[in-house]
Amino acid sequence: MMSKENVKYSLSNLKKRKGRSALTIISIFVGITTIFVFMSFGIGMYDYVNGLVSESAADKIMIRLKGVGAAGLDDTFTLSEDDLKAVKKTPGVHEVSGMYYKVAEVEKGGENRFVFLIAFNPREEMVTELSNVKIERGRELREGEKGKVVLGYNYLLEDGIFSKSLDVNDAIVIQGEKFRIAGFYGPVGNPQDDSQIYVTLEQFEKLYDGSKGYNSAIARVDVSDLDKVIEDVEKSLRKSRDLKKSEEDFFVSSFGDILEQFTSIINMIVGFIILIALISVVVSAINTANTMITSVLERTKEIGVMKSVGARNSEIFGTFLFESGFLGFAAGVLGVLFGFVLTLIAGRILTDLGWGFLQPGHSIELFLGCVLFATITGAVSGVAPAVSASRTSPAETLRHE
Amino acid sequence: MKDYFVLAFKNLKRRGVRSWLTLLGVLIGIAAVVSLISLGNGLKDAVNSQFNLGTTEVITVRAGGISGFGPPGSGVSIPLTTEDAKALERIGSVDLAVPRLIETAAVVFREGTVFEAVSSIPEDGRQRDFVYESLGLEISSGRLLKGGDGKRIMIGNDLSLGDGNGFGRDVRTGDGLDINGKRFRVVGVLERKGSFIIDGAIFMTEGELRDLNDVGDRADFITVKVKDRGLMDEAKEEIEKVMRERRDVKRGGENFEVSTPESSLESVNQILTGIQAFIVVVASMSIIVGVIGISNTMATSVIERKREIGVMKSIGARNGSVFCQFLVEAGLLGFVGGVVGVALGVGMGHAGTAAMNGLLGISTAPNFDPALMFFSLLGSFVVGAVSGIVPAMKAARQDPVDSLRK
Repeated sequence: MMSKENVKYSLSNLKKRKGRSALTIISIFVGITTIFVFMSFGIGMYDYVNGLVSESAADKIMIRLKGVGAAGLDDTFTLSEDDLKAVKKTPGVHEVSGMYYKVAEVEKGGENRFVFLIAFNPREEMVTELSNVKIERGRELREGEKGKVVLGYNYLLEDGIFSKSLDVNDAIVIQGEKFRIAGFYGPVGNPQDDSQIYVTLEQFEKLYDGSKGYNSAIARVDVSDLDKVIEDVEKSLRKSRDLKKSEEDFFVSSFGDILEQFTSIINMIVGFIILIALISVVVSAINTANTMITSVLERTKEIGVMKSVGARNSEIFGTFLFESGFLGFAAGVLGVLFGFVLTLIAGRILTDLGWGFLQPGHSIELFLGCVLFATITGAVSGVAPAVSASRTSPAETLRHE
Repeated sequence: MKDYFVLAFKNLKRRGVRSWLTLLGVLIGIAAVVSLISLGNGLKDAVNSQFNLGTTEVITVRAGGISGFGPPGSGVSIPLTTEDAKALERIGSVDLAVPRLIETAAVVFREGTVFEAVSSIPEDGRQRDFVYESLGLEISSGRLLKGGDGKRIMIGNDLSLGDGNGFGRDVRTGDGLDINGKRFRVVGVLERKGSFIIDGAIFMTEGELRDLNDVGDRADFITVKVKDRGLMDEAKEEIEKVMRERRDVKRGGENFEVSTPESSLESVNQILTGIQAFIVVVASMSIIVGVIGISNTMATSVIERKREIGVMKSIGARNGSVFCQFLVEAGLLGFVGGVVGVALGVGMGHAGTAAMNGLLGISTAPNFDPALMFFSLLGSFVVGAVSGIVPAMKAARQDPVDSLRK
């Protein structure tokens, strides 16, 4: 249907009307770039979360307590030692470790900040495995150690948490008590996690005397039948807390489930933004249709000549369709390239702002998909003008003028 | 001037489909932006109405901490105490300082268990009246709580409705609820306020709540009634001074917050405005694309009407009037697109809120700012005209001899 000559003819036509072709390409390009950028960040998030699940968190389950607000802010319900023992005895559970969460006031050099304080047993590697962080400078806490604290990555930065950067062995005041810094964790990639501070369970109990019980617990379990283990843990907890079914004041969920909830929210947000960006693609399709209609009108005579020397309807249709499709294709290629550069820049800026976990992901499917989408958009908006071009009657058109 | 518009209108009409498509492009973008802004404003109003429960004479004192993850009082490092409230009440410009508590409790009614916030109601008569008045609590059935009301509660309206309260059946006055293991009797159901903070809550006297959850002398926040509206700023400063002394901190190192009603919603509004701005920027891309469409159509139009321009010029039209002619045409495209776009946007704003209300069970109304509409109309004319500048200049500069020769 399409010969080499048809292609050549189309391209030379587009070239002849440089200005108009360029404007049409720009209008598709704007939408495609936007879509590319957001999809890229969506993919990046997905990769990040998947990485967490597969790397270290797949065999962990979390036990959290119900309440109003985020974990640790509401300590109406807590886990006792007996609860943990009951969980540990449950078949399929390898180990379990309780944690405290609390908001703490930290002070350094006359500045004060409010951050999350987390207390855990440093001998249990589960906790650090979960957030996948390693010590960046200094050392880990030792079991039962008091007077020492490990800080999140942002304390190492100037103007990160405090205006001055901190170092190992510096003094820092937490809830009015003086601590020495044992070490710093590497970056998690979001401002909240990287501002957290960590102490031992014993230190926590000393700092907040009369603490009621653990705010959450992590357990390492047998992964072969995760759902069954979760069910059994729920049963053990109900028994130890003397609750009936549906009266639970706790949640037991695999880390994978928690991350999945998180990704589904991210997906919704990205989806919504892409939907809005699609509006501009619709508008650009209208522009393309407009350009093609003009093009057909201008070339009515030309089409008449072509037909009278033997061009078939399908050939005319193909030529015009190719033209609009090519406009879309060119816009797609440009949009993807420009979008790629934009995502790299945005990724750098986000890292500098402390949101390092928000990084673009680039897959070959994304590049091809966006170009294909742009091409199809162009082609589809050219269908109606191409049909009207192919239907022109040669006698009619040649009679004019 | 009138001629320009008449002529421009005729020209646009002559190019039927093309003008329509250009218009369509512009109006889609404008409709999207107008409806998204009005939806966003509506949502902001809804959020504000959920949280903004105080009257203007109330100052709220909170301990410093991480806020935004839960109700007031959660996420603080060093909580306030009832002693703080007593000290504040001794300040000259302060009439009342009421310590309040918001606790979480497991609530069992028949077979259903839900987890709800429980708020304290002061024992003292004047303080209690102040809390009722400032929150605007009114009774729908039964009676309001009184001082010394042991083992009695009143509940928010939504919690009384079997459809959605989690118990699966209506709760009426006289019913008994088990709250954290203790039995309480409902003496009153409140009028619906349209705010989940009140409509889903349980209220009991302060003494009962302190016993129930073993709260000690902690206060989640303190609401302060100022003697006179004119004393607000003075009272705020004095409260800050007293709190600094009581918590032994220096100016600038405060680990507490003293906020007037206006300031307490600032951070929420900032976040919402940020999100809205971002979405509007993305949506504005489509306006840009629409404008490119106008530019394109006008450029084509100039080429098509080369002869016409030549004729106009040869019978005495100045460069200026040719320029104006094309500029008005482009502006008109933008303006008509704007009018239809705004109208459509208003419609979509209404439809969108209706859908959102149905989906989320909230009551928001789209908020159409007249200034927004005016500026989008003016803006669409200007933007249209601007996109026509280059083609119009091209038309104006044409050499009449050259264009008539062909």
